[in-house]
Formats: sequence, C-alpha cells, structure tokens
Amino acid sequence: MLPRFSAISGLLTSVRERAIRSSTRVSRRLSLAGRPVELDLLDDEGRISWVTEPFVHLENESAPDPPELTIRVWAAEPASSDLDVVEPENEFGELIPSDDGRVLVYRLPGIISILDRDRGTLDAWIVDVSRLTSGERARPGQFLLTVWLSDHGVEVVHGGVVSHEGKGAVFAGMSGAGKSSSTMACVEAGLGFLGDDFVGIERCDGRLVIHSLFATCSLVPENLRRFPELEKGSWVVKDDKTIVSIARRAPDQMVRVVPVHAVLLPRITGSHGVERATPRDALLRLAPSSIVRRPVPAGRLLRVLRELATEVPAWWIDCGSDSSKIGADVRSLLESQ
Amino acid sequence: MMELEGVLRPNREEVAAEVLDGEAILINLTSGVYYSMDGVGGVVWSLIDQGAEIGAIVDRISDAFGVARDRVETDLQSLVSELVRENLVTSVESADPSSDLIMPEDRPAEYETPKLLTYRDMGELLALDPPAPGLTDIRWTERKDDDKS
Repeated sequence: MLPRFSAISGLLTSVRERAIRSSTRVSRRLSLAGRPVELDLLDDEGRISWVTEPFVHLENESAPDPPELTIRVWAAEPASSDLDVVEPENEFGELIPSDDGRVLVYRLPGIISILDRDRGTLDAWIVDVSRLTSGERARPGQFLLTVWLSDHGVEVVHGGVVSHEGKGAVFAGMSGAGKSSSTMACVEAGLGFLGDDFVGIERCDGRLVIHSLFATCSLVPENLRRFPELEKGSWVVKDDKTIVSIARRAPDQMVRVVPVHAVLLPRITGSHGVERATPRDALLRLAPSSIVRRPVPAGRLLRVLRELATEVPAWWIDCGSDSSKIGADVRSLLESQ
Repeated sequence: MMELEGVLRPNREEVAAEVLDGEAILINLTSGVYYSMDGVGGVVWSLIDQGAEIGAIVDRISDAFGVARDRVETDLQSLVSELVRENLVTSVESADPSSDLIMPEDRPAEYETPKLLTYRDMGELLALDPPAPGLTDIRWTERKDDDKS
C-alpha cells in the first residue's frame, strides 16, 4: 500500500530544511522554455554537481526575477526508518498526489521528488545516485517538469529536433525507428541540436515552436559505433547506454528555441532519399510514444500533435548506410522550406 | 457475432482520439495499441463520438451512401464488435442517444466496408516500460483549448 501523501511530504520538507542549513548552495539561473527558473544544488561533497549538465545550454544569468520555478536538489542517505517512505514499490515509478492534485510526489529508484504547482517549487532528494536510471541521469526531473511545463502552456513531446538557418525539424517515431541515429547524423553534419528524445512545443505568436529542454542524449552502443566522434561528449555510462552531452561535444550547435518547419519520419530502407509524407503518417508516428506513459491529459497532447502534423509538411527520410547523407538531405529540405 | 444494444460512446477513460482528414486515429492509453479507421470508418467514429445507438448509425450511413441497410448493418455489427473488443467504445443501455446525428462533411463519396487497422508495436514497448501508477490521479485545470467532449 502506498504511504500517505502527508507522510512523504512531511519527511521531504524536514530533510530539505536540514540540507539547506548544512550545505553550500550553488545556484544557476536558467531559461526553461523561455521561463525563468532557478536551479539550486545543496551539495557540499560534489555528489550532485552533474545535475546542471543537461541544462547547461539554458543557463541565463539575465533571466528575470523572481523565477517561475525554483528547483532544489540535494543528496542524503535516508534513515532506515524512512526507507518505506522513500522507496518506490514499483521499479518504474509511482505518482502520489495531494488530495487537491496541486502537489505531486514522484518516487523512482534512487530519487524522490515533489512538485508544488501553485508555489512553483520542485524539490528532489537523491537518495542513492547509483540507482538512478539512465533516463533520470540524462533528463533529471523530466516527469514532474512535464507537468509544470504543461501547466504553463508547453507540452513535452517525444522526438529528436535539429535546426538549420533558424528552421526546426522534428524526427518522429518510436524507439528503434531511427530517430536518434538520424538526429545524431544531423549533429555530426553541423546542424543545430535541440533534443534527442523529449522537447517542449508551444504556440508563440501563432506559430508552433520547439524548446530545447535537455542538452544530453542517451546512445545505445550501436549508435556510438556509428558516430565515434560523439564520444568526445561522453559523460556517463549507465544501463548499457552512453549519455552524451551535446553541449560538450558541440557547444556552438546548441539551440534553445526554433520555429518548426518540418516533421521527418525516418525509415530504414538501405538507400537514401526523401519522399513527401501525409499528415496522417506524421500523426501516427508522433502521437503514440508522446502520449502513452505521459502525465499530461492525452486529449491535450493529441490535439497539439495534430496541429503539428497538419501545419508543417512531413517527409519520409530514407536512411541507408551512409549517415552523412541524412544531414545533407535535412539541410536541403529545410533550405527549401 | 454479438448483438449490440445501447448507446455507443468512445471509451474516453482509456482512449485518446483525433479525426484527421476524415480518418480516426485512436490510441489506447493503457495498452499502447493504436488504430486508424479511414473512409466510412472515420464517419462511423464521428457518429459514435456524438453518442448513438447502432441502429441509428446504420440508418444514417445507409441513407447517406444509398447502400442497402442489410449490408451496412452486417458491416457495422462486425466493426463495432471489434471496437468493443479492443476497449475503444462502450455501450450503455441506459444512456440517452444524441437527438440529431450530424454527418461529417469530409466523408468519402462511395461506401466501402469500414475496417479497423491495428498497430501493436507501441504496445510491445509499453509492456517493457509500463506507466507509473497514479497517473490518472493528477488533476488538471481546464484550459480554454482543452477538448471539452
């Protein structure tokens, strides 16, 4: 049986206050989807300095005050009496909301977080960094950030995003469809990078734009072999994936926000080329992996994806053995838009 | 084939749906399986979305396409049985049907037997990484642009 919400939030509050009193605070000002965010690490021993890595491209000391979201992160070993409160019963995570749904606790192996949607605070207690998943290392706080962003009009969708001359292209498809390798091929060809797995989408001045959320990508060994240069940005190996920081590998190619001009549907055919796709093709590839498992109302997400599929042209990108051609194809496509 | 009675409605608890250029795209949020129905299938979904008894749907489609009622009834009994089996629609005996079914404007010119296309690839991935329990407990402030249906 899940512990009561009040027991968890009470414990988190007391541990956080202890960390605030006893730790040195290191602060970063970020622009997250254009919103001012403060990221505070309560960390004397350097155990959690890595948390800033996926957000390094969003740092912005000129971000307005006060922040719309304050994120506080600390690491501490729990007392044995607190283990049943911090430890998830489900290895894939659990969400425990307050009665009014305005405060959410999210438990994962190695970390427990709490989002106060009204106060604009996200507190994360790293209980055991060695148990964090590769997803949580590459995209810290993604689950609760997805909720906060949606509350502020930005939806998180599943896709890789690159850009050229201020025009963005979204690679859509489920894991294994060629999305990551296509995105990496574009990065190696010199295109701008906004994300490999999850990005934010929002309508600004009547136009759909993509916001970069994380500077990292998780590569399976096969993709690392295909793009050996990416190892220069290699950051950590976890769960048989190498997390690469594109901000380390190619800092000049990091892009924070871009209007969308194309949806790209990779297909592995053995040859290279592009072919026009239909909005239906685009939606069938954008929607399932963006909607299933996400904490946001499915109807809201599906509607945004429908708008994306109908407002920008979609293209099949045929992927063969020469990945350099993918970058050239995408560059040409975006130049023609 | 089961005889279906009652008012048919989309299973909004578990299914997200959009109609794009007359084609219904449906996603079962629990299983990860997704579906599409174009042509007459898209029309059927649009009518189910309004809340209708299967007999009324048969009548509207038979009239709209000039096709024998028997044929439409056979086809729709088969399709709707599949939709119920896949948990995409529910049938509620006590509900009030929509008083005036509106046919979608972008419908095909000719009648063809409607088909449900099923894609199970996402479902296989989901089985390895299921959703976190408690997802349905988040309360959302309704936004102006939220689907109110």
